[in-house]
Amino acid sequence: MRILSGLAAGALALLAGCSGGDGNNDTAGLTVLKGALTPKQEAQSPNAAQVAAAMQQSLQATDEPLAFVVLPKRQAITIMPRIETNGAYVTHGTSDRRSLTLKHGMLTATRGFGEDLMSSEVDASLALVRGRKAGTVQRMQRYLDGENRTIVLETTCQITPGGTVRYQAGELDRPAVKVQEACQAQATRFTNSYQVDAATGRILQAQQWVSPMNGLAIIQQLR
Amino acid sequence: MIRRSTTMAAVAALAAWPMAGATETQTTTEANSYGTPGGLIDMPTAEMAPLGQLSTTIDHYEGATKTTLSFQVTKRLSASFRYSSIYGLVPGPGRPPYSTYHDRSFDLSYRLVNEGQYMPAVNIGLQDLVGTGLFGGEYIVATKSVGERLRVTAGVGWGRLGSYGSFGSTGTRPTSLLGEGGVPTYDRWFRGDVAGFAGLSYQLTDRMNVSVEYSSDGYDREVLDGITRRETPWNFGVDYRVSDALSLGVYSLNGTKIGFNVTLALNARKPAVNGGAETAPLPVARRTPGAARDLGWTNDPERPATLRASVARSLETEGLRLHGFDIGVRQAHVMIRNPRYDMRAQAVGRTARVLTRTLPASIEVLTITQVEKGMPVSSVTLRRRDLERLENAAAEDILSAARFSDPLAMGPRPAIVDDAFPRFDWTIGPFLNFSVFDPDNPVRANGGIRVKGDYHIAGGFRASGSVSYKLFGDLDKVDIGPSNLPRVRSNVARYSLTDDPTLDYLTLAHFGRPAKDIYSRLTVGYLEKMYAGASAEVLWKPVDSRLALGAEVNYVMPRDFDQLFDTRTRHTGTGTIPEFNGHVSAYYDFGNGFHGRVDAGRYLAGDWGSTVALDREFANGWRVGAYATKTDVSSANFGEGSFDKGIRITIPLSWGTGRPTRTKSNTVIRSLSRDGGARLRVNDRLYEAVRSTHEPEMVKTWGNFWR
Repeated sequence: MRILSGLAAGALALLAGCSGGDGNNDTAGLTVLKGALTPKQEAQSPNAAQVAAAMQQSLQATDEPLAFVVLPKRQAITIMPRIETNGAYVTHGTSDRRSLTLKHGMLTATRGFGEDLMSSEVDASLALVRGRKAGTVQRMQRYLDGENRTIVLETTCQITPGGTVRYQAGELDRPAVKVQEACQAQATRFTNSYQVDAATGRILQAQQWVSPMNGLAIIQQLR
Repeated sequence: MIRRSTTMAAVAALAAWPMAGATETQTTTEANSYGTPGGLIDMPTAEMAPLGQLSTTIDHYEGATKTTLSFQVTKRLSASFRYSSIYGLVPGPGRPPYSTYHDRSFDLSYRLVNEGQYMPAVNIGLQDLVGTGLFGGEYIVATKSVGERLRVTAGVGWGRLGSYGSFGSTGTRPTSLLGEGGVPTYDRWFRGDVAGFAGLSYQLTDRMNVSVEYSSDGYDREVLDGITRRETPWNFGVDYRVSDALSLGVYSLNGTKIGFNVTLALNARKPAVNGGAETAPLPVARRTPGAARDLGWTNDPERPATLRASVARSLETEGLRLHGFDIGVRQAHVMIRNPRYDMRAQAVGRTARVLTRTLPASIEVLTITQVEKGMPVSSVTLRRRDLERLENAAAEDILSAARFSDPLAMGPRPAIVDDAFPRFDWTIGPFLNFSVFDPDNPVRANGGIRVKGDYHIAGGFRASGSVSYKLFGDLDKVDIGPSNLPRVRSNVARYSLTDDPTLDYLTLAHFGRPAKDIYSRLTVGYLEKMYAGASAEVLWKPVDSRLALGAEVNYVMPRDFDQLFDTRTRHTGTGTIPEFNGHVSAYYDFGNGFHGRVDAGRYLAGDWGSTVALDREFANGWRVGAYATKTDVSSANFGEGSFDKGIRITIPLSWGTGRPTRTKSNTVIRSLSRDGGARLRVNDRLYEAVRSTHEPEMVKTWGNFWR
């Protein structure tokens, strides 16, 4: 008949109290609860001038490749320097420990966003997008479900190159080709789009769907 | 300059998450007046809740209040526990009515046939199938969707559900009670009068549902006792869904009463954030080709110590603690303590990445040993090349490249780091102890402040204590009559009388690894609120086994009611509390979401018997289970309920917050603490701590390795 408190996780966090030693991580619950109780502050979207200034600052601060990342649905805008390279995969990260991994400029994984894209199989798609060719490919994206089990989203994607644009961001000013990737599975449908360097085939901008909670990520290369 | 993409607006919309349960049909998040899943008012339907749904419904009409906990165990099986307060029930002819009659009941519903294009979903169900059977009824029911919004239900019922407008009968339905209640009323099932019932529910808007039904429940007992009148078999209801978690309903019953209900629902498979919202791990650092041949670092005698310090520092930023460290030219072995991650694969994965970033390139084989309660419990060995190669691949690839072993098979243990011992962990916080759904009172509780501490003295040795100070509470009002057994638990109220601080436990424990696959615990001191003494346990659990076997023997002395340092006599008015008790246990993970456990042995009062427990487990740590204990105490001696049984629910806090934490909420709903089938409540039994780091458990959420 001893029963620890009720079913609401919120109430549990209240009971967490504070602690020291190895157990001192448990106060995380309390912090989260505080966050849940105070109304979310609407992130003030920085204006174009502020963004440009931040970008200049970052470009001067490091020689590493930089990505400008926007998640419209999460109201997040950030500049991420490259933090690691593993073969063809490049990981960009922020100081508050959110990261994303790109393969030749195409997003393959996120971390610390919540509902993260764990890994992807995109080689077929990459070949067509970088080659600015039309075709149909399979794309595979892995996630953790509500039980923390791995689930796989397999989609069939139609890739179509479009018109040319001038890509201007950071230190880059290049002629680019737009490429669209329309993907579909049974209950899922999303469209990614890219701007690919007309000369080198490098993906300069990727606008890719991440997950239901995160929506789209727009990733622009700055150098 | 940036050109703000105009394409942002042209973003394609996206529909559902990939895994929307394609095989679940006829589901609902609504509940009827009995708190079971269904869109009608008082009658059952063939609907089921989504898998893992745990809902609490409080239903009230002038005549009865019913609180029901329903759980969707599998896609086909739903179980409900109900606590009801009925006002004005007459115990027997000519006797005065109870002011309030409290009753507990239990229901099951099973999906026989899933809905097809023309075929309706069909369920078979038992209502109030244990005990007094006040709400007892059985049914077979079919529900079919017609279009998107309308659901049509028709069924036949027995018992209560066959008490109005019956068209036939199947034998006679006995009315006498089996045992002291608390046993299945199998002698009544599907017997007696049979009647038909039917209903429609229509979804008006996304949030609102209206329903009408023809009820086959005559409310005979309630009408006879003057609790209600019944003027029509037609009931009408409206439900409003405020959010995924909260629904409200109002209905007319029997043409004479208005009732209403509130349903609060959680779903084990729908956490705050899928995959968690915690920050990113550090990525794997890939070595440059040929770097592994550079052994220059081995000439520096100081290097192992600086490496150890930098590994410890990096682990710290991941919320992990370095416990032991040993490196060679080609291999490293680290022991870690994991106070943060409830998904153990994540702790191992983050440690592995830290090692790729800190250790010299020549070190190829990495062994990570998890330490729990001072015991090395599980080792995972990985090749650094595989970590580099598979960081961006499916998690199952690194799983097939990983090797699990018993740390005792890994050769000499790494040297324990200096700050591993002694160390002190403490917590201070509020507590609430509940006693719910007892025969006299729905809820009693004590609340106050509790301080707990663990002093880790040296490898495996630990001193632990907890002191509570009660600020409010009425657990001292719990009244349990004596049985013909020694009073080992039933005088619980006397332990709640004191208003002074109480010593919950004060123990010295040793946790050990006497041999491969074997774990041991020895605890002496003030073991729990009611008993002092000594407790010894041994557990056999190979690292890759879903089966574990254990044994425990306890020597106990009853503690004084003030819960300070005195003990009291073992002689109670109804017998002498025996010195020894203990059990042998078998644990088995069926691997399909079910976990079973059997304990057999001698209980506190000297009674012999066994406890069987079955849990539905979800990989994220949710657990809903039931247990029952039957000993050689007769039903008559045990008292109401015939034998001890209960429901227990474990909810990981990480599910609610989206952050990794090992804190869990454990809730037990059980019959009153009586003297038969009672066990010692010693802390830190071995199985859970050991099991969570072993292969069968870790592979369930191995995807978290790369999280």
